[in-house]
Amino acid sequence: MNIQPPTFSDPIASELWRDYFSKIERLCNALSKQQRQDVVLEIRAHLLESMLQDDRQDDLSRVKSAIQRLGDPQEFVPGWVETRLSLATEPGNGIRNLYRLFKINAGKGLQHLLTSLLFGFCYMLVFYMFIMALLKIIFPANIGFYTGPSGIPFIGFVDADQFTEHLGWWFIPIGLIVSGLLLAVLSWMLSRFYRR
Amino acid sequence: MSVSTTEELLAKWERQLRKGLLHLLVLAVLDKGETYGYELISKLGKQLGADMAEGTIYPLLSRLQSEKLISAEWQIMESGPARKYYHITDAGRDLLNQMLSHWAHVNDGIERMVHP
Repeated sequence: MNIQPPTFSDPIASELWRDYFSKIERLCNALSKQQRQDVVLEIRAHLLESMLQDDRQDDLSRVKSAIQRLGDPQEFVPGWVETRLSLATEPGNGIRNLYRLFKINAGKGLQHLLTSLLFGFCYMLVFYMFIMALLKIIFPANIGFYTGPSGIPFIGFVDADQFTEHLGWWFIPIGLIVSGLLLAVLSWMLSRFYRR
Repeated sequence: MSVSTTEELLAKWERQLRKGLLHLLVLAVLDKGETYGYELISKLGKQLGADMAEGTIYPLLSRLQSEKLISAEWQIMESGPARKYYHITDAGRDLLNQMLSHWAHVNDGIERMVHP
């Protein structure tokens, strides 16, 4: 089953619709993908029905009114999620229920753990590059972008005689710009992940 | 501490009463025939003559479904968005009949107390 979200000519109406659903999706985070989709589709179908009954021409008024009548997601989605989670269980089968709930929660927990580790590692690399670019001012001969005898490139603090440096003083502005850009991209990706 | 007016107290009591009767009302509407969320809310709104946040009905529908008192299925419509239709089950109908008979009993009791 799929119900396409409407397209609005008014960008504010689109934003209102998007914000409302991102709030709902956040509140449904504990559900499986299929259960979450079912809740989102039912709310989407409800709002579309509600807007169809509204004779007004402008999108913004119709969306606003439909959303207002349905209510704040915080007021009704958590209760819905709770019962959806209980649907995943069967009466009188404790061990199987525990296993099912564990499967739902462990999958999500593992996903968050791995994502946190990955982002943490990337942030450390960015911080490392930033610090190295600054330290290049103090240790110009020992810090930079090098290749060793094996030809593998790296950024680090080395005995310059044994390695070939490639960027020279350009390491400072390039290191600062690249770390700044990576920081912005990582932060954007992280916020997208948590919004999802 | 502010003291509630009679109107406020009445409104509060009405809200609580409606909330308490919502199970019965939803089952009663579904007993008349299958319906989808938006239509169900419109019917309840008309019957009760009160504004209710429409979203509050969905957790209840989900709970009734988990208790196997109602069932639901998506239907694709020729025009307009797809609808999730809810149906009352035999267990739901049994419970509704028991609720209605209990309600009649309570009503009689109130009537006898108020107009002895």
